[in-house]
Amino acid sequence: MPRSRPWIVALSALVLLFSLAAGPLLGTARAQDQVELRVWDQFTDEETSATADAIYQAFTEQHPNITIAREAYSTDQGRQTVNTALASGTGPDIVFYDAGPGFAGVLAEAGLIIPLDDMAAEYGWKDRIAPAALQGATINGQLFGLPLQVDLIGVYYNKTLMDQEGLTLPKTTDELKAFCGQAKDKGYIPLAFSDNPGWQAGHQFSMASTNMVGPDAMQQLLYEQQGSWDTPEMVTAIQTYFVDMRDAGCFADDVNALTNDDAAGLFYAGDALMYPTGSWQVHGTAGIDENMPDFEVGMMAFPAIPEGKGSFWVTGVGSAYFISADSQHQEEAAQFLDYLFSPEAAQRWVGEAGFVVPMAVDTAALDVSPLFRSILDVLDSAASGQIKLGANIDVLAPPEFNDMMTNGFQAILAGDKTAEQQAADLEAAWQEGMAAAEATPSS
Amino acid sequence: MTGTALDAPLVVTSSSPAHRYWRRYRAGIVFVLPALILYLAFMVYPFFRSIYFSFTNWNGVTAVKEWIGFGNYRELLGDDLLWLSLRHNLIWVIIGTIAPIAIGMWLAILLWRRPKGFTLFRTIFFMPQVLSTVIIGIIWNWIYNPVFGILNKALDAVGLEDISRGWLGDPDIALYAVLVAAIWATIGFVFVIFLAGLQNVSKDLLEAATIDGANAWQRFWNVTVPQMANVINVVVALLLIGGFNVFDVVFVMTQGGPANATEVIATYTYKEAFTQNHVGYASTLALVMTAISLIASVAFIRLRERGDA
Repeated sequence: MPRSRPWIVALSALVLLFSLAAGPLLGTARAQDQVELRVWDQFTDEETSATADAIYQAFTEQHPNITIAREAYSTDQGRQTVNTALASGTGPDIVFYDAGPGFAGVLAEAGLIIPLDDMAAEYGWKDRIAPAALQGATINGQLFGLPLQVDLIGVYYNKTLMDQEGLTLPKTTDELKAFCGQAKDKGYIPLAFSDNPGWQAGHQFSMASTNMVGPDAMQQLLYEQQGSWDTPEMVTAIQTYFVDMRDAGCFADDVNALTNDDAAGLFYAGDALMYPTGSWQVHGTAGIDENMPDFEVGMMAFPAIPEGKGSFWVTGVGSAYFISADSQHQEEAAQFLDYLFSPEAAQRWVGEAGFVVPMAVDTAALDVSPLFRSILDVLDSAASGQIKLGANIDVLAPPEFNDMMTNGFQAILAGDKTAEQQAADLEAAWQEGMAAAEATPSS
Repeated sequence: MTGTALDAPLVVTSSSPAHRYWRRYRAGIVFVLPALILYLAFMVYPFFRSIYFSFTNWNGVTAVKEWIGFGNYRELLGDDLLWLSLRHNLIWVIIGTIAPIAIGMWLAILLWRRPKGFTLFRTIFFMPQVLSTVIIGIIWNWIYNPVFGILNKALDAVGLEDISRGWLGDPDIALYAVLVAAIWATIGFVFVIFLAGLQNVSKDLLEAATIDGANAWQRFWNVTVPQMANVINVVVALLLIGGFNVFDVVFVMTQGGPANATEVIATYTYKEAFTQNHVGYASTLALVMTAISLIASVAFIRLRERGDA
């Protein structure tokens, strides 16, 4: 093998070394005043992603010294990536992430995201964003995140078909069970409830438990840990939805095998008369507005359980924007968040992405469907104190509890578990999860 | 700097044993080094870190990893979900090893004598092997779908409505339904290996056995199988290890549900690490999985060696 001349090797090494050292230096000199904010969000579908791009770009146009490097991760991808990225110091400056104790709660306890109380006071975020939503991103009394999206959970119904069949809206679960029998006799699936892979049951349980114990008791249970999940009232809530309604024929066969897409398809096609899920299902190419042009669709709160406190809507905060403790650009990050929650951006989140934002938005100027407007009206009524809303449990519960909701309710639906056992297991999972969250060492 | 200066140390140390070793093996070392570095960084180092994590209650985020000694190992003993997952793995290993071998062998023997359409059938039988597991999972999810799935539609069409159901939603059936998909995906691989192995089976011996009056089963069992022993051993070892480590097809099709009915140790470990934030305990589970795969493989290889002797 011929040998290279040593001076060529040495020179090449020097050139390489110089280029490695000088490259970043030159870059720094060029971008002395430029700040790049790395933003990770969860807007992976085309429509919401385009809205996020447009809003981020509008921000950079107002702040020419800031560029945004955006990466979108699906909810599941994010849950596998954000923890390790932030813990290893390679994460983004700003992350849009699940606000619950098993997600942002863990990051906050570990000191990986910063409290936003001072920034909130400086920018007036607390005057702009609904307190109930901010509560969802408040951990141990400190505000850590700004929640962008509020969900309303209830039951969609096909008004056109129900009128055609002479069926009326049930006000109580007894009436609902009777309705299920009538609808089934007429050849319909009464409720397009699906429970594969299992997160859907948590939303149904949120509705049933809120109607049983009332919104105030749910708030105390979820935010103040006052009360428990294994009370007779909770057992009744579980029994009513997952056992009695199943036995009354309210659900399709094989509910554990149906996905949310299957359930949506049944409702869109007019095979099912009702569809219990959240406001996220209205907008977009896979949404109700787009897929049911020939039907009039309404949404109602889950019917009252006779032994319970009434019929209530359920709301929840999905994900929120958080600032990394490792970020070198926290000031710019705050400016960015301020823009995302400005009236101008809020208008676009609602109008273009179909989000329900926890802020006052002039919806009269927006071209939205009657169904979406009715959802906004419910949230407006709640914001003005006219009605009380229950809380969606899974975004506020620790992962141990959510896992028990997923597997436990599937077991009940399959006839392998009783409501009493599930209530006891939920309480045990809650205690285990809360203990784990509190035991997290902070540094 | 001059060429002489660079060459100088080579002259001085040319007689040392280390240098002689380097001169003799340097090409080999240079070729092995990149793979070795990757192996050390992505296999050996994480393996030892996992052992360390298994003695902590780390949640994957905090800087402090609290040492809890054998706490995680004690928890294993009382963990019902672990034993349930292991049971599912055992079912998987037994059925997921026997079925592909039986079906793969049958198909290979069908094509052994190169019947008409040999190439077409060989391609068709091997086809599932070229699909990624994720695709296979999605396709079988569609086949099993209770609303539009072809399986239920076919059963309804031939008057077997009573059998049709939500295959992946019934806790008593879901594991077997996923297994069928996995077996379908594995048969192609087993078939091709067996078909290649059959080319080395002596036709003279088979003819001799036929003349001696052996029937088809006796010829297969007493003449063909012994000559295929090595090939069968390799396939069994691979399927055994694969059975204990199975993750992808289960995760895509059911995520371990419904009601943990398809939970295997790998999906359970994944959930503990990434959704429950129990990285310490998940590391312990991963080590259990490693130990079981290792024991099963070593035991099998020993048995095979004993058989050979």
